[in-house]
Amino acid sequence: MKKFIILTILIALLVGCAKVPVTTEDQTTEDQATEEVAVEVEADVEADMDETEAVEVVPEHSNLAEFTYVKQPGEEFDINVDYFETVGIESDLQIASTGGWVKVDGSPQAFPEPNETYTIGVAMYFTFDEVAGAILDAVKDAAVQMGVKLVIHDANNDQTAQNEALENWLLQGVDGVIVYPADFHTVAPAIAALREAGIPVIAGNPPMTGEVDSMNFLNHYDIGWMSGVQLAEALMEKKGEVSGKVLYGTLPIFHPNAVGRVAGFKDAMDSYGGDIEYIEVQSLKQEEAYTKFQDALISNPDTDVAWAVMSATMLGINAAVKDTGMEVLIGGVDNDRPILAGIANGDIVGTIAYSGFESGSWTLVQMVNLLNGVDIPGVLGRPINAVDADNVAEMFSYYYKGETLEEYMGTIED
Amino acid sequence: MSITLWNKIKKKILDLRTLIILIFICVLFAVLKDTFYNPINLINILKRSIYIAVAAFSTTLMLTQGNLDISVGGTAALVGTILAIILKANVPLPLAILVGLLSGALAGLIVGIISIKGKTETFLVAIAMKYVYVGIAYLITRGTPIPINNKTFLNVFGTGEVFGFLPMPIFILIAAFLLIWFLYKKTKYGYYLRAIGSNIEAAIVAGINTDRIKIITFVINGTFAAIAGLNLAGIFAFGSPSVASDLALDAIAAVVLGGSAVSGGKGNIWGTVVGVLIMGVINNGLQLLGAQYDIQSIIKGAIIVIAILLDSWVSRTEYAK
Repeated sequence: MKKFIILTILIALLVGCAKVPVTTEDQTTEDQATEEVAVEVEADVEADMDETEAVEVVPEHSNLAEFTYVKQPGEEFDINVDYFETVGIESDLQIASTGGWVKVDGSPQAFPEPNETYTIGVAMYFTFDEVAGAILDAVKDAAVQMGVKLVIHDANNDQTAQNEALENWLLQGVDGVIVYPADFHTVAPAIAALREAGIPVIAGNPPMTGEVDSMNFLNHYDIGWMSGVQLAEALMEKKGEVSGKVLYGTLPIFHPNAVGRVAGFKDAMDSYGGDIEYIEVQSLKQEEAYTKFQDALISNPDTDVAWAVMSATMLGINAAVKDTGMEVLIGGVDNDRPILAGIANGDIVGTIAYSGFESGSWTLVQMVNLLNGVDIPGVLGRPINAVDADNVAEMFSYYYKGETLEEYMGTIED
Repeated sequence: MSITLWNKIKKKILDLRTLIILIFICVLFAVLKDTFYNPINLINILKRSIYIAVAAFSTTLMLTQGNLDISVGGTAALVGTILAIILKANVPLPLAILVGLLSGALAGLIVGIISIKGKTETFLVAIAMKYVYVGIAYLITRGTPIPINNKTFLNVFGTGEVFGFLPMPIFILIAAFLLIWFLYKKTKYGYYLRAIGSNIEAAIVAGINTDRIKIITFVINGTFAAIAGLNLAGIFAFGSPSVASDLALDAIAAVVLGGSAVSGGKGNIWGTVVGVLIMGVINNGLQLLGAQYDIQSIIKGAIIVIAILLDSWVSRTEYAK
């Protein structure tokens, strides 16, 4: 068995070395990364061979962490149908890259070396929350390590401003553009213009209208589902059944990510078969969430669960629940530091989160690979984590490199 | 009924129009939803109106002198973050609060000096400075809300209660009201302020140092924005750069609803209290009735427009007399 594994690794290494561009500078880490990818794929292939006739799969993607294929390279798929439609979101996104759909299990294990000094535009929807800040930090950090020049634009949630920046970059002749759109539809003309000019585009926050080379993907339905399971289990522990009144905080605007999360959350709660009454509370900002949930809690004193679609909602809910003094299970989505602090001190049951840092580093790695001529995955799905009291300290340091939850929370003064 | 008596009644009704509106909507919501008059609900309306009320008090002074400072939201966010940072550095609480208040005063002073001495449009300067203050708040926190663990602060400015039901920040509200009322009604400053708002040329001719009075008002406004920021930091137990983005507009809406003249010269501090309560009651009542964001926004906006039209009509009626 041991000899077989060694032989498999050696074969994989040979295949990997032949396919993956490896630089001398990053030789060791690249080798390790390639080796792990190859073993993973080999295992996948073995599993597949039991079910169907052998499908020869060769890893084409450098720098990957542990990953699995959702769709094989070259396999046709339509993410509009395969994902967005299933959660009730209309989208018209085309993906140019034929490198398949992968689901990675962490950060890039190595950075590729650019064939030349690329100038890459990074268009952010805004930079004023912790996730967006982490994305930007990661992009900058990766750029330094790879020797890539960045041009960054903060749209401050204004798609007109973002489109103007994209058009300017077109004139400047950037090598590639990473875009986290402020508005999923009105970004389309600017992206089309970039693509027409032959400038590759990677989307960081889909869905969006138009064609991109690749997209960085999070399954928001799964995020909602996992959150629903987390709160349902807590409710089961508290009441012995998953039933009662649930206040769920969502946005007053149509946002595809929010739609996916709400659908997943409700489906998960309903899957326990109890009688649940849902009451929707809409808000955009933290103060709004605070006052609206306060009102909703007062008019529904028998509330069991308060769920938040995003961080501002969760922080507002937390303050409102404290104010009313009610015993309500709080949970939701996002990993802002105050949320993690709330989990640590027992105010919040848990959260479902993802790393903004991973998003930023993956988009830049994908772009450099693409510019280097590597066939990158069309969809790169990133991991989702359930955070609760048991793992919150560990996850804090994972999301916020070099920081600890203990340091962040400080000491409680009387 | 004689015409004189009818005119007197009409004038009284017009003077008390905001209070009548408040009573009307309270009765309306109480009829539609019995939870409305639950004491806990009424206290909550009061509790969360405090930071808007504090900002609205000084906005009343601003509007009276004929200026609008919409940088107060940025000031409040900045002060909350400054306080959280210095408390985390173990600075004693009274000193930390003092630094917070002085930061607010300085923020107001800067807006005042640029707009008054620079002879520029206050509104535009305030928009620009709001960006600056919010930007500084993001810069010093790197966008991360800073936790506040000082229990005394959290009790006094946030969620503490007296007698088990009365929110402690209400005493800050009362103090702020008394201070503004005193400044407006009982001091030379208040008299000059009204004179400037009514007719600035006449005020200059009368020898009033209009620039100085105006800048003092900006400083007061910044300080009160700082108090609002401290209240928000107390509620959320964090100093966060993303809070209070709508504070200035909420405060202005409350002042206008309260019957202060949009054109300046005539403030109404009691009216502002009623205006804040109208806003709080509308938000609360609509939420209790299950109205969603869209309906709430439409109704809130419509009520403010009606208040402005009413103010305009009253002004024209008084002018015609």
